[in-house]
Amino acid sequence: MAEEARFFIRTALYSLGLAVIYWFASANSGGSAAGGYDPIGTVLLVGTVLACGAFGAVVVGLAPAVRANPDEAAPVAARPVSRAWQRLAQLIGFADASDPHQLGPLEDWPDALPARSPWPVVGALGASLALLSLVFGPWLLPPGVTLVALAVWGWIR
Amino acid sequence: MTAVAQGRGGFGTALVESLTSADHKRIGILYLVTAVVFLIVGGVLAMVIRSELAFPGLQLVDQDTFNQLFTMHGTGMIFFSIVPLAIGLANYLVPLQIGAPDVAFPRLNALTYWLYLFGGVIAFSGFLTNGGAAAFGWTGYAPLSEATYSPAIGANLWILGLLLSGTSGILGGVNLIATIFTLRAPGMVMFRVPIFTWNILVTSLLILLTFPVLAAALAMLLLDRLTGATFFAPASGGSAILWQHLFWFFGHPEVYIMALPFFGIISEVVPVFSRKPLFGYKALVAATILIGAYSFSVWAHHMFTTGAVSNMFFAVTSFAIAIPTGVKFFTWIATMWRGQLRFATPMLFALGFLFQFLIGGITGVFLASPPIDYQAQDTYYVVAHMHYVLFGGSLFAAFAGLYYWIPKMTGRLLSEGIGKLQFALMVIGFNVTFFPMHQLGLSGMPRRIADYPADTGWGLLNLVSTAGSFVLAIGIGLFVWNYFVSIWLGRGAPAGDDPWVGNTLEWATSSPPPRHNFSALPPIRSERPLFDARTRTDG
Repeated sequence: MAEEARFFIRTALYSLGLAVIYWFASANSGGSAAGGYDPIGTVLLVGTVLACGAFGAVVVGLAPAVRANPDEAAPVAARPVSRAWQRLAQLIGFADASDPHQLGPLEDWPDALPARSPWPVVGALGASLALLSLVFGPWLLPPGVTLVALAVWGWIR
Repeated sequence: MTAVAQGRGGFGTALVESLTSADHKRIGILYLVTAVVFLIVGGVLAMVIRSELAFPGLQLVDQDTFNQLFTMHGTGMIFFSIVPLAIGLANYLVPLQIGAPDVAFPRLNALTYWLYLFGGVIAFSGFLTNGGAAAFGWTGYAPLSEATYSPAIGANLWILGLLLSGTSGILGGVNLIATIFTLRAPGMVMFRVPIFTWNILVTSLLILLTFPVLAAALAMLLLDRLTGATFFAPASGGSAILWQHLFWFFGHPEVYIMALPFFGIISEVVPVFSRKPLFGYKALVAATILIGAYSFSVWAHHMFTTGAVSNMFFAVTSFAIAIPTGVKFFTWIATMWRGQLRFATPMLFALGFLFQFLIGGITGVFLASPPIDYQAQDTYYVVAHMHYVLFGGSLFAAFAGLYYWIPKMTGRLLSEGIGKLQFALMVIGFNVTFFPMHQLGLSGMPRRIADYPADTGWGLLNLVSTAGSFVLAIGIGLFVWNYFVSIWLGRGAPAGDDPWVGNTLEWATSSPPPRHNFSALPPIRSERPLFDARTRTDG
């Protein structure tokens, strides 16, 4: 298993152990549950377990496809499941279809680097205006949403 | 820095290029410039606070304005200066250190910067409204932050600003994790990743797991304020303790989000200026991971006095976090041991960090003990502890990093003379400002008060502290002056590709690096490929 996946899975397991210990340690601590256990902290820790587990699952699934470092681990056998993951990863833009072994000199990479784009600043401005409509009134919502829509259109175009 | 990085292409060109750039280096520099601006703004607010407290009975500003000042000082420093300084350096350096041409999602990276900038502007724009800025402290404790007690519109702007910058942090964390996991150069397995990048990886994980909790808490608070919901209003069945849990579940890992990247800087600077390999690379990585892990188990040591948490559990875990931090200290000391030390400005700031962060850490261990915390809670002792960690620690390390890497970013060295003078003024100013606060706190002076009676005996130490803060401000002003003279006016000596004889990949390319970062990479056989290459050549 890749170090990247172990990174998340270890964190999830650690958080799980911590959540269990915390639940019992919080007895008689003044929490609202029966016995004074603290449900808030425990829920937060369990949430951390779930989040890390989800990240770990994504990395386990996508690692064979996204690995840019051929020296770290042997390539996964091209079983049907792996091929499916690889196609999925490429489909959602998480992976480069090219073989990292065959990358040319780094001077060739500028062609692959994104050009300048006004859409990030337009999108951020739109999101800010849309949020400010909560404070200053709905008149800010149309320009905010329009800018966000414009940014999304420009970004994916 | 932006204009300089532009060469002399004119302000208009620089502006357009900055507005549209997706280059991680330019975005990193934008982060750094903005963070320094917020540092200066936060510093000015601090100067007014210190001036207000210089003498008992002095009223330069009214009490409500004073509340706004310390709220926005803390908010500005923590959310819009220290963390973005780390994110800026990470943006610039992580792709370079792992031999990548850019981050994994360059345009997303640009979006994170603009969300951060707009978030900061919105949070501070409360000063321009009738009721003023938020005035309930950077922790936003409910029910004080509810509309009943803080009706001013500035509080809503504070929430929206933090929501935007928090979203920026989450997206940035995803981007940096994806970059480190997917774009490492051939040969760079995880245990050859430079220690700064390792610290950024763990920091990004902390951001990813905790910023959503803050975002949720802020959204709930906004609902309370705007729609009459009662999440945090005890009078209507809500829970003020819930806010504290949510805030500190974010807030204590946030302390390590503000510390780990700067530990990473120290771990890069110390070996280079000791002319030795880093001692205990894997121990440092393990300590970094352990600090990150422990940071999830200590949040309620901020809540000892509520009576609603297990003080024993959080005391034990808070004590335990000193162990991996101690491991880091010993590895830094062991790295310097019998090294050929060079006391250039980055190394001086790193040594300042070691001394001052140690004091902050030790006072933190005291505060982890509930009986002591009951006495020191909400006193100036806590203010002193926090500033020794975040200013004496993180900001000193940030200056070490800036002096170390600005030559890479701009192609010119900052003046060593001005840098050393800045260091001297900052060490003196910092300790004169904040060390007396320990005694003020132990004498019972509460934090967040605009005035105090003369018969308390706090006047002299407050005056000393205020005088120190002016020395500190001059020191930071010298950094701006140094940058202006050495880089902006171009009087700094040319840096060359590797002015410090560095160990990591960023020193293998030109200063500043080209758009694609590298034309060729050296073989990567350890976490210090350039050191290896020199050793082979020398050998």
